[in-house]
Amino acid sequence: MNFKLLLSVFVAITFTGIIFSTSMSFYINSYDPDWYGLLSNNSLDSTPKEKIFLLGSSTVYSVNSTFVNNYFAKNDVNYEFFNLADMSDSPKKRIHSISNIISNNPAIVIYGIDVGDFRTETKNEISLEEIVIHPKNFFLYQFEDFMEPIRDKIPGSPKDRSLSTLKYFLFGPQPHHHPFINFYETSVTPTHELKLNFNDNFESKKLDLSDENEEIVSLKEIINELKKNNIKLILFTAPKLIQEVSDSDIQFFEKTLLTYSNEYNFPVYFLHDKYVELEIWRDSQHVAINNDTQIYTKNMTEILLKEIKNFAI
Amino acid sequence: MLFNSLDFLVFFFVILCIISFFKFRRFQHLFLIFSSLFFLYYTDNYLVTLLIFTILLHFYVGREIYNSQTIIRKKIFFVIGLIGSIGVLGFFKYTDFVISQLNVFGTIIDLNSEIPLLNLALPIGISFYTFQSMSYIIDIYRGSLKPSKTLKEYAFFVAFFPPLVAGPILRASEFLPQLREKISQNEVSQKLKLFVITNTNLKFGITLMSIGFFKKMFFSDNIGPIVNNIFSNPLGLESFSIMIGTIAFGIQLYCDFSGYSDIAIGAAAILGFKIPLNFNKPFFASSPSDFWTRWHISLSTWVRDYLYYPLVFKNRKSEGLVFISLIISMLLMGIWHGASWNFLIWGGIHGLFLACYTILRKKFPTASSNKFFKSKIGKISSILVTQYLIFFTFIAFWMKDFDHMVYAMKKYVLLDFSTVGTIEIIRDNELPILLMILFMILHFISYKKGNIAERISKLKIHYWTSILFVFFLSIATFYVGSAREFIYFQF
Repeated sequence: MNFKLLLSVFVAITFTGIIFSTSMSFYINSYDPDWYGLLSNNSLDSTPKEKIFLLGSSTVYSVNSTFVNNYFAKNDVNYEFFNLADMSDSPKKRIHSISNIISNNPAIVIYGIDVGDFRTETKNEISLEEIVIHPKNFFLYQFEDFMEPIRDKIPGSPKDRSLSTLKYFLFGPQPHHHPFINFYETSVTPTHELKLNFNDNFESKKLDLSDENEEIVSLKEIINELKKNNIKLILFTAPKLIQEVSDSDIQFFEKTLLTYSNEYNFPVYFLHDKYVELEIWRDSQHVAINNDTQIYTKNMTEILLKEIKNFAI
Repeated sequence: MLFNSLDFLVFFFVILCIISFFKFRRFQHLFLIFSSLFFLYYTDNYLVTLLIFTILLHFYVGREIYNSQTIIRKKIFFVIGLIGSIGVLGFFKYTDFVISQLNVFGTIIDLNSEIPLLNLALPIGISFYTFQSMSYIIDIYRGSLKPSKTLKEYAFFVAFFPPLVAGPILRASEFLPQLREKISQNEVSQKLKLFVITNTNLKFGITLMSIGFFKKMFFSDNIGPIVNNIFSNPLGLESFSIMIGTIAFGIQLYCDFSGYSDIAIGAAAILGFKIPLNFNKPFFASSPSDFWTRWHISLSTWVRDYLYYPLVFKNRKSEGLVFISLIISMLLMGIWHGASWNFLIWGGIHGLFLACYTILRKKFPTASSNKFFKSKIGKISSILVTQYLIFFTFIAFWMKDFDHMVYAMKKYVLLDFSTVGTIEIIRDNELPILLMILFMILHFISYKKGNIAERISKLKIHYWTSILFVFFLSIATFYVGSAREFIYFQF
C-alpha cells in the first residue's frame, strides 16, 4: 500500500472532521434560543410581550406554538411562546446553550424532559457466547467508550443543523417559532401497530438518578441557572407511547422530580403516560402533528395559563 | 454489515492491512474467504450456512457435470444443481407469497381454513449469490466454462465479500481468470495469484468508493424523505406531485443501488479485481432496450443470456415468440426483486415496453437511420420519451398498495395540470428538490465526460485529496443521522 495515498485520505478525513465538528459545536454553543439564526439577534428585544421558551427534545416538537400564541392573543395573555425543541436534546446538551437562552430574557421556561434521557446502559462483560453469536455486539461493546464522546458532539441530524446554518447565511434571520426546518404535518399510526413493532429490551436500560449521572448534574445546573436569573421554571415529563424503562423506575423518577420541585420551588407536571390510550402517535416516541392531535398543545396551553396565574399571585 | 457504517470501514481497513503485511499466497486466499464468510455472518448470522451450502453444492455439481461421460448423467447433475439453487431461493423468498396467494384463493372458494405463513427471514444476498452460482453450472453445462480446480477457488468466487450482498452478479468466466496468476498478457496459470495492492488500484478504488458513499449518503438518503412523503399516500395528489415523486424515487433508487455497486467495485478494485459496471448513465437511455444495457447490467445480461436467448433461440423470426419471451424474461426480472405483485407488474410493464419496441424496430427497420432520430432534437426526444416510460414503471416498483398504484399511474398518464399542492410539496421539500437538480447536473456532466472516477483517480495527489475532502465534507454535513440500509439489501 502506498502510504502517501493513505496519508492523503487521512488528511481529507481529518480536515472534514475538523470543519464538521467546529461547525456543529459552533452551532450548538451559539445558536440563538429564538432560532432567529446562529448569531445573536436583537430583534426579539423589541417585542413588547414577555417570552416563554419551551425546551426539550423532539418529544416536545409537536407542541404547536402558533396555536398557543393565537390562544394567548385571543385571551389577552401578554406572552409570546417559542418552541425551542431540539433534536436529541437532553439536559447534558442543553446546558451548553443555557446562557444564551438566559441572555434572551425569557420570563418563563417550560422544560419537557424525557425519562429515557436518564437511563444508563449498563456495560456488562460480554461473554464468549455473545461474541460468537452476535459479533456486531462485540464491535459495539469494544468501541462504546471511544464513540460516546463523539456521539455527544454530533447532533441527531447533522443535516438539519447544516441546513439551518446555510439558510441563515443565505437568507439571514428568519423569524419563526419552530426550530426545525419545517413544521410538517405528520400522520397518526395506529397504536396497536406501534406496540407490535416495538422491540422491548429494557433489561439493560435502568434509570440512574444519582448525582453521578451527568444528565442529573446538568439538569440541576440548568435549574440553578434559571433560578439565579429569576426565570420561572415549569418542568414536565414529555409524553411517549412506550417508555423503555420499567414502571418501578418511572415511579422513582416521579418521586425524584417531586423532591427537586420542593427543593427548588418549581411546578412539575407528569405527562409521560398521559396520552397512551389515545390515537395521536406518529411513532412510539412522538405525538403526530395534525389537527386531530392538538390535545398535547391544548394541555400545554392550559398548564401555561394556570402557571402564569400562579406566578402572578 | 452495511457498507455505509463504521463497522465496514474498520473491517475493510483491517483486511487491507493484513493482506499487505502477510504476503503468503495460501494465507491470503483462506483469509479472504473466511473474511467474506464473516462479513455475511456479521449481518445474517446462522444464515451464512446457506451460502456455504450453495458453494459446496455448485462446486461438486459443476465438477460432476464437466466430468460426466454421458449426456443423461450430465443432465441429471445439471438438474440437481438447478433444483438446489432454485429450491433454496424459492423456499426462503417465495414460500410465504405462494401461501398467501393460496389463502386468497381459499377465501374465494369459501374454504374455511388458512395455511399459516412461515414468516421466514430472507437471507441477505441470496438472490445474488444464487444467480451467480447458477450461471456457473449453466456455463459448464453449455461447455463454455471449465470448472474450478479447487473448492478454495470456487468459494472465493462465490463468497467474495464486496459484491456478495447486493451485486453486481459476477460471472465465473470473467472472475476466475483474474484470480489466477498471469503467465502472459492473455494467459493465466491454474495457480491462484498473490494479492498485491497497487497504487493505481488503491487510488481508483478509494475514488470509486467515495463516489459510492457520496451517491448513497448525500443524494439517496436525503432525497428519500420526499419519496416517502408523496408515495406513502398518493391518493388525492396532483399529477405533477406524482411526477416529482417518481423522478425522486428513480434518482433515489439509482443513487442507492449504483452507490452500492460503486463501493463494491471500488473495494474489489483495491484488491486487484475488475468487476464490470452495473450502471452506465441510465437516465440517458434512448430506448427501453438501451435502458437495460445501462441499468442493473449484471442482472439484465444474466436474464438475457440464461433465459431470453434460450427462449428465442429456436425461432428468432417469430414475432409472437420474441414478444412472449421478452415478457417472460422481464416477469422473472420483476419477481427476482421480491415476492410481491408490484414487482411482477413492474417487470410486466418493462416486458411490454421492450416487446413493443423490439417489434416496432422489426416493422420499421430503417426508422433509426431516419434524419430526425439522428438529429440532436431527435436524440433528446428519444431520451425524454424513454425516460417518461421508465419513470412510469418506478411507481409499480415502490407501491405495494394496488389502489395507490393505479391512482398514481392514472395521474402520471392523464395530467390534471393542477399546481397548488405541488407548489406546497416543493416548498416543504426544498433540500430534496435542490439535490435532485444537482444530481441531474452531475449526471449530465458524467454522461458527457465519461468515466469520472477514472478521471479523478488520475489527478495529481493534492487535487485528488481536495476532491475526496469535498465528498467527505458533503457526506458529513448532510448526514441524516443514522446509517440507512441499501434498498437492494431486501432483494
